[in-house]
Amino acid sequence: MKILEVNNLRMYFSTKKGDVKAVEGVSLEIGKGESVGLVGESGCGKTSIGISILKLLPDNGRILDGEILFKGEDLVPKSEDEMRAVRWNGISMIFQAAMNALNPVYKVGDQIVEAIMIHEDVTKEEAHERVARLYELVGMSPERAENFPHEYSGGMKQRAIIAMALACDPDMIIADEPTTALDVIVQDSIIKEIKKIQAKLNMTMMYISHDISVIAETCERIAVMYAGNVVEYADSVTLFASPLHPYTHGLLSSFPSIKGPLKKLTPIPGEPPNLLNPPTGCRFHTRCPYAQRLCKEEVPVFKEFKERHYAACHYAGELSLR
Amino acid sequence: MPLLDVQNLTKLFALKGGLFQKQQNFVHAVEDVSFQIEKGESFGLAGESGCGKTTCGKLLVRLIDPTEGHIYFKGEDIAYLKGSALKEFRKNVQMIFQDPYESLNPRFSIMDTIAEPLIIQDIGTPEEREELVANALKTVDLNPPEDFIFRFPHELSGGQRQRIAVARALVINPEFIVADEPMSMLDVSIRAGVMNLLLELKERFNLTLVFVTHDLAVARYMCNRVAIMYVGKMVELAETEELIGNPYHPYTKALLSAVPVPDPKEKRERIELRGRVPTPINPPPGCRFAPRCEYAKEICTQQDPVLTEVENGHWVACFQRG
Repeated sequence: MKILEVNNLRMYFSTKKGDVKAVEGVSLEIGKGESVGLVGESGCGKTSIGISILKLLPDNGRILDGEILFKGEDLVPKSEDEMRAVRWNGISMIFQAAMNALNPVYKVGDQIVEAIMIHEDVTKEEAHERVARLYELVGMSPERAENFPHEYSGGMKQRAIIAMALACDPDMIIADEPTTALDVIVQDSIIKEIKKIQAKLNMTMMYISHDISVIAETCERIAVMYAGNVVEYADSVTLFASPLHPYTHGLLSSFPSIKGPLKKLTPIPGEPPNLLNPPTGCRFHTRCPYAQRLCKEEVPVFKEFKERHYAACHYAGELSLR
Repeated sequence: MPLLDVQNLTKLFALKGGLFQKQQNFVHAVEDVSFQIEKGESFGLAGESGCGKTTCGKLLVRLIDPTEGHIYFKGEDIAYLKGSALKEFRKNVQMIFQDPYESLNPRFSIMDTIAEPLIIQDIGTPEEREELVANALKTVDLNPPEDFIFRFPHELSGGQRQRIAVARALVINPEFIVADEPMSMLDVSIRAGVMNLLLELKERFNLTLVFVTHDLAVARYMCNRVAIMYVGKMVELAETEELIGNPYHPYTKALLSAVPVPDPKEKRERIELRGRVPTPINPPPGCRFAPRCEYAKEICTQQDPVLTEVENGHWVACFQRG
């Protein structure tokens, strides 16, 4: 069953220099209990999709087109009041570097209690009890809820943020770079915790990261983004074994690994484009080693090539990648 | 004779005490570290944040003064050089910093930036300098140099900026370069290009490279040998493939097991560590890792383990090795 369906989403930021075309015609579907990774380089629109789904856009951002169906209901036309009922209860988000946004003068537990009481009609005691249960769920001792943020390590703050995201029992969590600022050993324990919670609660997860190794470990399906488009979407094993889009292939070949034979990395030539004025046709054509005239002229359609394996490339399936 | 022979290098940073604080506290950033680097080698200093790897790198190029110990560069102790002798030594060494957005002066044109070391070391006439700068730009694949030479950092992308930083390091023809996390701020598709460039330049100019990094997959790609640091101490040192395939130190094992692998089929065996990294302020005697180590015995909390060669070229500082 599909819990979230994004159809043809377009989201622009207006700036003095013109419109930044951050999300251009993105379609995605996520099934209940699935974990989906959104991977791509900085500025490719990963976070923009996350904040579009929750409609937490800054003043200069606007959704031009498309639908965001959450449990069958379109979120795009919803008012701010109606969205408040969706946020936290329906979908909650773990923001990038959120652990640095904890209020330093309040106890961490009280900050979670506050969030629960705003969204649900419960007494303070019930909210505190729930915080204790949430702390156990994320692998922390409930007494720690009485501490202030400065008494926590980075990993503990991130656990508290995860507890907060779970506070109102949401159907889905969007996690934006939840482990990026953490050291590798702490990162590993957080990833493990998230996977454990996901399995236990059958949580639907959308994981946003630039690090394909983290995505490979946490997600069943992966959507690869480039310059505001989702260029490929498949289950992780298929995506790694037989990518259809040259950008996916380029990304995989430029990532070093600690396991397996040492292979020479092949960088993708050029630089990601400026989204004020993106290239015509396929946005990747300026860097693509297989680009033809068609790629420059026509925008490729994002379509299903094999079962649940989507790509947006004129020559997908015809190229011998790898 | 090794190019660089480091002996018992120690750096303590004094903490400002309060008005009534009698005891002076020190951060033991690097403590009693000894190693050799051969000419033409690419040597990795790896570990988690706060382990002392950057401090160690800065000591090697004498950006900071050591508290104790010796650094022999081609047989001469450079650890306590001052004034003109230090400036003379610096003709041979250069450093590349982590963040190319901060390490370039925004008011300096690319010409000014790259010519700065030449001016400081009083090399060449203005015309000769311009030619040297143009050559340096060609070396880092910024072609044609005329397109870049009179531009300013804000006009360039992150990858181009880091190439400028590499050109600035190369322009005085150093023998020895310390690169401090030069990839970590760059996007994945750009990163592989800069890594390949550094490896290529190392071969071409027979450079000796010290590579400071937290990313063991990057270290594996870049380095012949890797040293793992933990809270100011070097705990293991070996050829890269040997270290990754056959680690001895329990900390190295745990660190390696936590590195995510860009392959969804890979099932890692995780080694979980209890506790967290201790503070480097006045650490207790004994092995720094002992409180978190599952093999720790009494001796581990009483004596400092010494880095010893357990196999040909494989050095470990652990009482319970093997």
